[in-house]
Amino acid sequence: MSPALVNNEKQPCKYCGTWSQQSYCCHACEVLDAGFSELTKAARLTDTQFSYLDLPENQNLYQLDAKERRFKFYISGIQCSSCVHLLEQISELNSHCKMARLNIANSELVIELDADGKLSEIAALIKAMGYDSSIIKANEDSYEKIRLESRQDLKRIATAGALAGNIMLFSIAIYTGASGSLLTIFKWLNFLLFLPILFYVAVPFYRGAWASLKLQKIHIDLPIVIALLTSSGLSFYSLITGSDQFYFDSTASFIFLILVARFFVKKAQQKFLSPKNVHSQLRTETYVVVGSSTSIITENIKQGQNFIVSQDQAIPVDGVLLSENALIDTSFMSGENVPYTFTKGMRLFAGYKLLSSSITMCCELPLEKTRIANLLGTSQENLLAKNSYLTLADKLSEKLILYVFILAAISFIVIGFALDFTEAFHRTLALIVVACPCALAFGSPLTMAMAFRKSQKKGTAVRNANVFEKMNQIQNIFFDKTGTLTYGQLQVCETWPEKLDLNTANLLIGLEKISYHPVAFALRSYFKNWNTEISFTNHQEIFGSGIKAQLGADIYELKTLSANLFDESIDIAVALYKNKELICRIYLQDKIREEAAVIIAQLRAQGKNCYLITGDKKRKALAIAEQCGLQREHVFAELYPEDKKDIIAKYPHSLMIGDGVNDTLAMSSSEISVAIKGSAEIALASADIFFLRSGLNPLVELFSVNEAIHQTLKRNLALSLAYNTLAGILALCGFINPLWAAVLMPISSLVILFSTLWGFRK
Amino acid sequence: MRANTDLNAHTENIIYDDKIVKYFSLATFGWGIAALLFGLIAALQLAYWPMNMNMEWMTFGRLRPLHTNAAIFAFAGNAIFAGMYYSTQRLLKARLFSDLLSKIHFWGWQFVILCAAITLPLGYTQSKEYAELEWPIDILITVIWVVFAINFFMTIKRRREKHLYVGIWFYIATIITVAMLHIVNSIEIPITPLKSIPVWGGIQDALVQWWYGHNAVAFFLTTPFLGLMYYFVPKAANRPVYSYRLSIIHFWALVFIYIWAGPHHLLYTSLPEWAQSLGMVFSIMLWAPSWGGMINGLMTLKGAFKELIQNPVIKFFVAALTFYGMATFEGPLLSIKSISAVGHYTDWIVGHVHSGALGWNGMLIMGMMLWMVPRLWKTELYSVKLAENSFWVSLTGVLFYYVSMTVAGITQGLMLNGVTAEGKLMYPDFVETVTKIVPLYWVRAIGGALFVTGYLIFIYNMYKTIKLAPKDAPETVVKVTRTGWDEKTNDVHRKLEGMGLGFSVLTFVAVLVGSVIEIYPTLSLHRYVNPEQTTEPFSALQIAGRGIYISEGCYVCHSQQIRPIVAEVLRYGPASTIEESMWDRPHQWGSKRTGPDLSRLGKKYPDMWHFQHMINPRAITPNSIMPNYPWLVEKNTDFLSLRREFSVMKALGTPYDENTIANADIIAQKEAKILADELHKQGAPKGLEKKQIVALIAYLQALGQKAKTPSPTTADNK
Amino acid sequence: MNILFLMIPMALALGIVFVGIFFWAAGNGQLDDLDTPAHRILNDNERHTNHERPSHESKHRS
Repeated sequence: MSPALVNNEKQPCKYCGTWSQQSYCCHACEVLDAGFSELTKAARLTDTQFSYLDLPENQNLYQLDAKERRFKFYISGIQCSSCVHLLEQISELNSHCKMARLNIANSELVIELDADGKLSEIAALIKAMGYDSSIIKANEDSYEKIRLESRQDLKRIATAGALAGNIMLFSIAIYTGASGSLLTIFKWLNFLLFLPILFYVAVPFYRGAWASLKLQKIHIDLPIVIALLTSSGLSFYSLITGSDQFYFDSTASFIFLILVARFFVKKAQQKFLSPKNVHSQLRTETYVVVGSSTSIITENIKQGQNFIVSQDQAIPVDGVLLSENALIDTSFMSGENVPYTFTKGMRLFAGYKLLSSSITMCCELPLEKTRIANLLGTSQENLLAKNSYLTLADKLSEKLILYVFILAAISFIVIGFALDFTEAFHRTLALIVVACPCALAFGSPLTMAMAFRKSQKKGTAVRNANVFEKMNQIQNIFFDKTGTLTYGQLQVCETWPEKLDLNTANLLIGLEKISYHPVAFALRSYFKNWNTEISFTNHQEIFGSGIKAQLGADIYELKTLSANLFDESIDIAVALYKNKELICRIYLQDKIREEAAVIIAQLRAQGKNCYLITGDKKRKALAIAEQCGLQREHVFAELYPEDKKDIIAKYPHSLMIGDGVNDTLAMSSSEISVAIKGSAEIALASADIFFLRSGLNPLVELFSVNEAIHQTLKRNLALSLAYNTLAGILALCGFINPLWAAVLMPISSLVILFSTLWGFRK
Repeated sequence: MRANTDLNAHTENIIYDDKIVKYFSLATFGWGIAALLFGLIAALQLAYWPMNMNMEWMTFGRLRPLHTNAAIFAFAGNAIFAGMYYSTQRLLKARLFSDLLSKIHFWGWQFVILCAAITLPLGYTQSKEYAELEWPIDILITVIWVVFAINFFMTIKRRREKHLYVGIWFYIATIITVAMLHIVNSIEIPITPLKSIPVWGGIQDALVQWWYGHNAVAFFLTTPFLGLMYYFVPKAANRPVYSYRLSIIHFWALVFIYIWAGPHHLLYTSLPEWAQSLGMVFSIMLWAPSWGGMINGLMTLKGAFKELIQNPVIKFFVAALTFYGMATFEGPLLSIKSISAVGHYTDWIVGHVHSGALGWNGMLIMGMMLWMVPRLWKTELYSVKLAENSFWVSLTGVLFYYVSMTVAGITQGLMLNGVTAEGKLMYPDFVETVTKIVPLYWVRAIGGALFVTGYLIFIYNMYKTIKLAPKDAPETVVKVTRTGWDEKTNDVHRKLEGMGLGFSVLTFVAVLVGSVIEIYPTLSLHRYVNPEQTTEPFSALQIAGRGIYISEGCYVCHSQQIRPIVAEVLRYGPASTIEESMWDRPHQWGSKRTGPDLSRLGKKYPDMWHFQHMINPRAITPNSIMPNYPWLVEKNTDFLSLRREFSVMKALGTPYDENTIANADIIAQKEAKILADELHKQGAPKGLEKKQIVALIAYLQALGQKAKTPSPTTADNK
Repeated sequence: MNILFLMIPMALALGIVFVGIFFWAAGNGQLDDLDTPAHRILNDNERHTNHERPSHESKHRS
């Protein structure tokens, strides 16, 4: 009867019983099952890698709360409930940890330490548990604010819901013929129940409306408030005069609906800021100060301080190279993907990436003064400068209001003279009530919420609704070259002779063994599955030119060829010599993403102009452009970040898609900035949209989602206009009574709801 | 709770109070058997009337309330407490507040059940469904419930886990609401140590009763079980609930809607139109949250369903959830007026109720126990095979029961409502419709028997499992940390926060008491009846007879409420009006017609007819399934309590003059004498005046004879 | 129908109580994280303290 027997390929996790292929569903279970013995050991050990966490100057950088010593880590690789359990055990394992609380949705772990608790210990413990963690800086922690905000929203929603429910209850009673004393009681109860909605629930709408009045910019809240006040006024008036114009139920329920819809949008937008999106793409770099064992982070590096940058790390600050020489990838800054060799005393800029083995350097300018910092600063300013858009809904409601009020005025006068003025008054108010652009107010946020969810699914994170609003005006799309149109790494594209024999391969691999040059990586991946190691003697890397080594008596050399020996599509070429005589040549290039051409074609088919904008050499740029099907006149090359900015600024309705530090300025000057997966931190920070899936495909998805949005918005608008006109006419003919309103209102909302869902069905 | 050296400052070792959970579990097992057996016997009685073995305390009228009470309060009740206490301690990371209170809760509750088991067969009943127990027991229940509430809320206050899991929320709703329902529905005035009169009369009593009746189902058989479901299903399946968000929405939606669905039990009664529509609308609205819950429960197994379903515990849960889905779909359906017209008063309702009680509650309880008992006794389940068997057997049982009763209900409903083209009843003779469905009663009995068998297998499995338990297993010490208080950790705040719940409960009770006091005066005035239609109250002897009618539980099979439906008007006479039952304390509207409606029975047949019919119904109606009531001829009527009863009724607004009240018993005996002599003339034995039969006949002959104006119109809704 | 004069205030009172409780819950942060609690209940420390773990045995053996 054991399930394991019943089903062979799946088995229950030995610890938690979750069904999976392995005997443990995840690492956490394995650890938990083993018991805590190792972990308790781990809890004691500290790791120099994390010692920077204990630096006093960093504490207020990380501490979330003024009083409590509370910190927040982003944990990657959380899988199942056992992970939650394991991580929350920290408070049990580390005697200084008062509280450990995980939020699985955001992958955030909140830790509270007592006076002599050490963050490094916690970090080490987390590592020992088998998770990568990165501490979240207090200023990056947007979550707190959001949390308090959504608490308020929930209270409002709940109140609205409960009240609307009870009001509906009594209204049904009234509609189905409650009479006599009960009727009066029910009416007054409705009124009383409605007051909190008027004075508490609806406050955000008042704020919105007031703001829009102050800015003299129509905002959707204005018509809502007008309708709300009119209907409640009218209802109250009839309560006193004893007539039966009661709109409490309809009003209450539409307020409730709108609140709910808006709450969804908020939630969806907040996803953008959640660490899952941002932190999962960054990792905290730490550096070791020369002559000490403590590690520090970029923020800590002071002017004139000597520190060690290890391989693959980014250069944290602008400074001078102290080691003999270093192989540096400057592509993030320059857009060129062929690395440069720097020698002692040369200046290194923050944002470069070290390819060769670890170096020491001296800080000249601490972070805040670096070139990156300046770039970032300006791009942030631009970000703020971007005027927040008037949403489509607002534009429409602006018209709608005018039209309703003109209509109301006319009808008031007409009916007034035709019949009598009290009647006219009633009907006109009824008109205003039913003509409330509820559909818009409820439909557009709903649409946006759906859009956010959709785009998330399709692998793009979008900063806010305005971005969507702007999307459909986009005319010009600027692509960065390296890392955006291309993969951003060298690959072997052709060889001479055509076919390389096994021996040559082995020689190459053997030679490149010690090298961190991208060529080395390219070769390794190219010969991945068919090489056996050959070990050379007195192996040496001659920076800038290549590698030299001995095998027995023979001297082998691997040299970089000068650029004029091959055509522009090739980025770099190397040749292997045995005792000065050529054995083979290998050509490498930074390949273009295979989807690039297709996508550009699609975009151009949609009538958008695509441009290539890069800091790289003109001829290369042109070559790439040709392969992607971009016109020659649409290529801008050999540019500094500042130039890119100016160019893009010239083009209206532009979208810039890039990945590098060098792009950020340009991106910030474009109307919409898109950062592809694996972009530099700064690029991410300043992007309106970033991709959660690698490659360019999300771009097309984005446009299709955007298409869906506008289709849906238009349909909703049409529907609600139809509804409003119908209701309006009925109102003017005096047919609209509360029952009608109560019936029409939910129907229209339902219609909108379905139309919206339909819009995003695919 | 004891400190331990290997702990750091922030963790402590505690021991959960699993003893009390064990107690409640054992109680569940025991009472479960009782409840089911009572049910089985009752079922057999309907198929074969002599099954009451000619014992008065075994007749259907008394057995059925015993069955329902045992099933709801003894079986389900104990199971709820067991599951709640088990899960609450673990969810809150805290031992129960007070072992003493726990013990009081346990023994008190068992005592209540015992009292019920004694008083109900003896015929001490308020005749309010699911609230039959007499006033001293009502008070006892209230006390025990308060003890339970204190124990529970103080545990919440002392919790170490800040977040209250959704299950806890369902428990909270249960405790608060049940308290309110119980108090309001049992506001009654004692007349003897075991007899009382409710302050509400007639329609008011009916409305309160069904507001209670519905919500008893909602907040005793639904919310607590949903709470349990949200804890035990994830635990057993070892995967988080499908959507925690949804579960939270599910809770709040249910809480806000459920309370209002009550009136659907009174569709087509003399309850005002609008109130009926209200009940209908809200019952239909209930459908959404209920299914939200069911889907959430089932989706929890998504992905590994194939593997998980191998586990009998999961089987039980899946079945339970499916039945919950069925019942919550059928409920709103039945509350649609046109469907209610057919279904109401028939066995369809009985089927519906049992698909919930056996399918949802029963299955969930068994699944829960299968999972919980091995853990409680630190052992392993004795046999998975047996668990499997008990599942399949009981499942077949429920299906038999449900199908047979639904068919029976619809058949009888249609037959009773059948009207020919000439506007005549298709089946003028009520008993025809009964004989038609007796075979289905047998099927139902078989279904019941199967379920009992399945349950007994389960019990055997539990027994063996507990036998397996290591005798001297040490109590589990659990290491807990206080987590989640992510702001304002200081104790002052904690206190306040702990107060939070207690406070809201207090305010609520205050409001409750306040409104009762404030509202009470208006209640006694029958402002809503129109004066020219008011009815005469019953005479002394008739009241005495009414007492017997109640204690024999006649209302269990006979309604006193004619709905404004053609067939019913043809069959029983004009539809009932509010005024006709205005003096009825408690109301006798009834909810099931195993026999015909009696509201216009008076003067329909001669006294002797009733005499013979009570001794042996089949002497008059050959195929009748009504039991014989020979003891009515032996037992004496209690005339003494009449005075007190009359004075109370007077106080509550029934227009009796001082003389009637002062000499109620004498007057009654006079009436009895006359009627007895009358009967003797017609051939009944001599000297019946003191016997119950006389009083009862007097009452039956008075039914529908009290209207001042002969042609009462249907309900007005003032 | 005077009974409604009792039932309505009562149902409303109940409603108010529940809204009140909801406010407490929201303000108290009960609704901040609506994902993790579902996972949290699955591991109570009981496992580590008593070594045979009923959950699996009872599930996997027969």
